[in-house]
Amino acid sequence: MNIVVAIKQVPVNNNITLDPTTNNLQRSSTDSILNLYDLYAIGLSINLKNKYGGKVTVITMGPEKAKEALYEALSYGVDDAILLNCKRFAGSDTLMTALTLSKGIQEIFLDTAFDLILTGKQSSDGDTGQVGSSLAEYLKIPSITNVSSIREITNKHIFLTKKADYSSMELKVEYPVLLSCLKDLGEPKTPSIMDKIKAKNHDIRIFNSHHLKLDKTSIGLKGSPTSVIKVFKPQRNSKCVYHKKEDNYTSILTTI
Amino acid sequence: MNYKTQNEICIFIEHTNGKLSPYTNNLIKIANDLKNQVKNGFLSAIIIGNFSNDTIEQLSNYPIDRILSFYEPVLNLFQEDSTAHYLNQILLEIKPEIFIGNGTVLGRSLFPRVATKLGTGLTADCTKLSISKESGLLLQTRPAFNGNLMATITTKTTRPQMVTIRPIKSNSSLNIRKNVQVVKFDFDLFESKITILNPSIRSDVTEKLSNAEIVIGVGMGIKTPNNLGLVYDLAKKLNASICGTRAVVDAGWLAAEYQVGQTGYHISPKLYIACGISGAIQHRIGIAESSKVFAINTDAEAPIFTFANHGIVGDFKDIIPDLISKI
Repeated sequence: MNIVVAIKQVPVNNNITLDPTTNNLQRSSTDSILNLYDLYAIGLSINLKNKYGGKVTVITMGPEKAKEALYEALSYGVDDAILLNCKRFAGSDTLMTALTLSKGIQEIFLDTAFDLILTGKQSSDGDTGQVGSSLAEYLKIPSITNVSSIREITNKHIFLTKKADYSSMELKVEYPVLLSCLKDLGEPKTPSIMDKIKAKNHDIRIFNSHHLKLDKTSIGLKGSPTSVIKVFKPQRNSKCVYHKKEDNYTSILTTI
Repeated sequence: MNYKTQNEICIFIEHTNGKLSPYTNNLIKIANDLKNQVKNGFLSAIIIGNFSNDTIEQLSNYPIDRILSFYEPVLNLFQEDSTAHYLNQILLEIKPEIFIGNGTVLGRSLFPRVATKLGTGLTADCTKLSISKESGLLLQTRPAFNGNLMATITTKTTRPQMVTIRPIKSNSSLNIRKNVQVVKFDFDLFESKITILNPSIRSDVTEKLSNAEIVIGVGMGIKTPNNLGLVYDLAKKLNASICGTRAVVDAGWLAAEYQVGQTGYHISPKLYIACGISGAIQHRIGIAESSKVFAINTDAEAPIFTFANHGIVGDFKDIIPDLISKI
């Protein structure tokens, strides 16, 4: 199977505050890691490769620094890595991110076909979970989100379990397909020092907007239909009223 | 036929074989509030798939102006390639200003597909919507950075302005509007690449959790799973459901289906009793829509107290038996 895993590098934590005078975002740390959910997508890709053969390519869009996330993916046993890196990609919203990723994937598979695109359920910083389905739409393939298990793969179909809000369901889907992965699928095996060294020596391919033949006015910040117009601190709803065990505080329990 | 009206807001009605999703009431309420903020506002509800006349009848009792329906008995909405195709056809015809759906598992994946077809913007999981008095644009507010900040987003030029909202169950009564117009669409069958083999293996635990008026949450502060017995006693007395933080689930004290928080379920009970929960932001996201939060924690500095409406600083092992004796 030819598998692509789309991943994202995210901040280590989301402890962000607003500078009271400038209103600029202040991060407590600038360290970045591989998005946790993407680990499950990588884990699945390696399992499928071991079982069915084929090749796994990992792709991300981001700054030069995002190579770190790609090296990490390579250390888990991924075969190849692509970085979509261009100043013009900066400021992309989810639609533009999905567009750029789709062009990157089409560039990788000019002569061959892919079978499976995997993503994590969502990123821990943006938290939207909408890039995967949008990417599938750009690639004109079906998508299944919240996949919790792969039961069987035949020469045409994938049989899987998907979790919905208060139920789970069993589905059959024709591939190529995009799947977004839940924790249930498991993490990849911890890489050895040798795996990490081998990964670091891998030549990561970089595509910019010219490679992807993307018009500069219709990508990145310029192409993004949504824009953030205001960022503010959430208001605390109310002050906590403290009670003591000796008090008769059962009135709290009324729900009307 | 030209269906276009001025300042139209469309909503997507989720259902299972005609049974409306429990989040429908809140979606209509929010859309109706928005409609009242714009001049000549008009509210349409889109329903597609396998539903009955009863479903349309039920929808007609809500304050909406028009129902846009496409009856396709073989369609399961989770066949998202097909569902997105039909939705796109309707939206191209209607050209609404705003299109809103619930941020359920279905909405969170269906809406990105539709927004991509239409080349328009989409904001996920909004907790507040309003219309800007200056620009007339939809102000889409959602939590960012794990709820540490809120962000307001607009879709300036592309249409419709698309959002999913946080799914909330509500029973608030809505004004009934009579003479709702029903438009029936007809499209060629779009062959889905997805087959639903076993449509719903329901989890009783999570369904009960989502319906419970009172939920008791446990965190690592209860120290040992042996102490869960006390919590179950209180739950029985209050007819409450139980949930846990991610740490409690990871420790194996409760099964994964009990997990509430950013990576678990989101609940909206009338009362949430937090036992030994420090109140990490990840957990608070899951309980943010609770009407009232009552926290019991030995640590007076625990962040849960900045979020709770009522609190007792103390050991839940003392407080819960005391509480049970007072009920």
